[in-house]
Amino acid sequence: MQLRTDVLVIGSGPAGLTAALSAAEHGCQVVVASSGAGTLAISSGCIDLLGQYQQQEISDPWEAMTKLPPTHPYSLLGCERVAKALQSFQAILARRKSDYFVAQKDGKNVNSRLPTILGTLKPSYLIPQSLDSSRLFSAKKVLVAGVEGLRDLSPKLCAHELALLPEFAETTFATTLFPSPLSQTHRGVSSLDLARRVASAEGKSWLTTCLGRFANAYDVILVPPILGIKASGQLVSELRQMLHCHVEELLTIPPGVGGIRLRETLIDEAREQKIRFLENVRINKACVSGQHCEYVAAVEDEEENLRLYAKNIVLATGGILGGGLFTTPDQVQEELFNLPVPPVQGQMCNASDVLAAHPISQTGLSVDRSLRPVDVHENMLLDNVFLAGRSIGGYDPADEKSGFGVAIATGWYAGVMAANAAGMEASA
Amino acid sequence: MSIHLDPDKCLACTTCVVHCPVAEATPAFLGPRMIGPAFERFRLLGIVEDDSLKYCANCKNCEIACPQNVPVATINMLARMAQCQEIPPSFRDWIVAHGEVLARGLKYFPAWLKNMGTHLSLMRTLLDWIGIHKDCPMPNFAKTAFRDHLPRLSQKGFAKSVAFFPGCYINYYDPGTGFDLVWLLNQAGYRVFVPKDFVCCGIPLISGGFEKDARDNTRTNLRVLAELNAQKIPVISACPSCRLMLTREIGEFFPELMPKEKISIDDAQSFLLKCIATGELDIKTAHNSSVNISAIYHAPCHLRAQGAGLPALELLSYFPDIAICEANAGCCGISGSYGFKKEKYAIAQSVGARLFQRITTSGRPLVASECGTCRLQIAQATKKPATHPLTLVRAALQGRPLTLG
Repeated sequence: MQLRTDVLVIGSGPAGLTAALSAAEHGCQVVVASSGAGTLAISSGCIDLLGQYQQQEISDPWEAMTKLPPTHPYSLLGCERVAKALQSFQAILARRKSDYFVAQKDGKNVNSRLPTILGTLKPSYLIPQSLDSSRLFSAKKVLVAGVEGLRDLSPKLCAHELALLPEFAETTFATTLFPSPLSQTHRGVSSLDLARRVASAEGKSWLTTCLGRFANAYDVILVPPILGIKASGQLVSELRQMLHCHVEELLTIPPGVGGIRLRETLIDEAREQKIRFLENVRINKACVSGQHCEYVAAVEDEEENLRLYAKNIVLATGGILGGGLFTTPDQVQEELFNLPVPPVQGQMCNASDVLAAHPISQTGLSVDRSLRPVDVHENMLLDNVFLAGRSIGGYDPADEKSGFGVAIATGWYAGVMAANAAGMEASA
Repeated sequence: MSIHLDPDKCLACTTCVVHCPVAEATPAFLGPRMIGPAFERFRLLGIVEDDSLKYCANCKNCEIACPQNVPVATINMLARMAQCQEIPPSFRDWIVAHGEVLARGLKYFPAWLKNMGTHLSLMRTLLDWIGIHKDCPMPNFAKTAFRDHLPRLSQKGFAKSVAFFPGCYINYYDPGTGFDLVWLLNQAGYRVFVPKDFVCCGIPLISGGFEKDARDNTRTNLRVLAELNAQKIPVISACPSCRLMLTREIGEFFPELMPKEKISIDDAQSFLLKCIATGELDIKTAHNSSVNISAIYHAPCHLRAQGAGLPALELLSYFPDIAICEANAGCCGISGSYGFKKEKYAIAQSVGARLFQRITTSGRPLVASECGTCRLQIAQATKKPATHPLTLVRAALQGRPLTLG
């Protein structure tokens, strides 16, 4: 089959979905082709903007952003565009009645510090109400509640580690295990199983009963992310009002309940914008003449399954984990356009400190200020291809806590650029 | 059976767990990641199979979701076939996997008698007793099978030919769709024929664990396909599951049977789109008809798994008389014969609930989907007629109102 569209987005992770939505918002006809469902559904759904600078946790991401090296994606876009991207993203969430917010301190937008199941604190920026941790730091009595059969969260470990932090010197932590609402399970219960159960009437009543027994005695109750599967935050605010107690979710390991909530929200919006999705499509052929990509195709056994003609393409295929970059023992490659990946700066293999930043995380494709791919001499390689998300190099999302922030900033701008180049009026 | 697919591409990211409809419906299932690539390592050590393997519906949503291209469901089906060599499947499992053999055996019984057999409450009780749920939807046998009726059609004066792989559903239960396709292809200047040796694609046999039977069918079909491909005769299928099996799956299940030359079999809708593009099929007349059709389209999982887009939606969009929207609400739950099984019936209904609700609240009076058993499941659950997209295309092109039973 052959399709024609204004903008083709390859990839359906946070960068791809944001790019698709921003191009559609500017009046483009958009097709999203994806191989795999993207990383959103295994994430917390938090938008980390910039949580650490030079290995130090920071409160004001905007201030630190101005100090980043010029090759960093944020520097390429400039703080203003990053801010615009986030505003636009927040507007989408608000339109879908999603309850995301940014914490305020002294009239400034700042990072929140979110407790994890391991009893650590992680900085993040744009977060859902269920993760609002503002009360945690002033609470006197905190309960960490697990659920029987949910092996991901050990309340005792979490409480023990939190209690060691200087922030909680005045706080007393207690723990409990709620009885499981799932009668017999063959597999280990996940937060997702519980969240889906809580989305039902019986599940909600189970949770209300469990929380009700402790609500009077504690200022904050920390639970795994089980407060339903909708991003509306309705259940969270209902529980907080009813119990007069601040119930708050912990960050945990995949499957990512928060990410699923966000993904559903974005996909619902995309459907409303008449964005078309092509699933399980491995785009592996690009026909380029000069600097212009004429079409891309999914080829299997020498047969073209699908050919897509797009005026402009947003490449949001992800990094090494997402499948956009491919590694061999000594190099990293981009396979669709065979774009050059700058060599890893420093030691490719093991580093002596496994927890420190690793140069491989910085690895990725080079882009210019319009997010078009460039070579080592900064010559533009393709005039109608724009990059978004993790395939771009020059930043370390793990070390900086900037993963989804870069995804949304570059995704939004790539979408705007693609719309612009497709002849649509777009201001950026 | 000693094929094992490499489980090490799996990074244990759990994306498949999130998107597995069965894992969502029941905690009795270990889930795709654990039963597929993770358990495969135990299998390689010869450790006894996990009982919950039986819950995998082979709907392929794990593979659609996987960012690393791990053939999760295929790993499961290979494991099931290996398991069935140790523990022979039940009588019930044989029946639901061998629809074609049964239909052939019952060929000389009139359709009304066969249909009474599948709809009388006494018979349903009996079927329930052997493990086919008494409330599950059952297809009706057609008076005459498609393949028996096709030679009686007059298809004269066509210079070009196309071979049609009808699959069991169109052949025994839904010949009307087959005739709609024949009519459309005749309009495009093609004579349609079904090679006499084509047999069931084998996907129900794979899901049931009948490795030898699936292999025999595959060998036969591959021989016919190779002959047709050598003669440059296009081959098409109107059933997503048949095409998935014949293009993508056989190479994974039976690599030793694969011929050197690539086997090609096109999607019927995709083929018609090509006919429109080349001018072989003239659709201008459709613009003068006034057959107003409003329908909601359900993309079968096995079509989504093929990674070739949704050609039916594309084709339907050519006809101004057809107002179509996409349901986009995941799996219908039936997964071939999965939802027929007594112990899986509730799971299948629970899986399909979201789709049923989406269809019901859409306000559209009609459902379109390529997959026969999807339609069966949807029609029963939503009480709305469900038809193949080709039937709508013919109605719009012919200017003939739809008659839906």
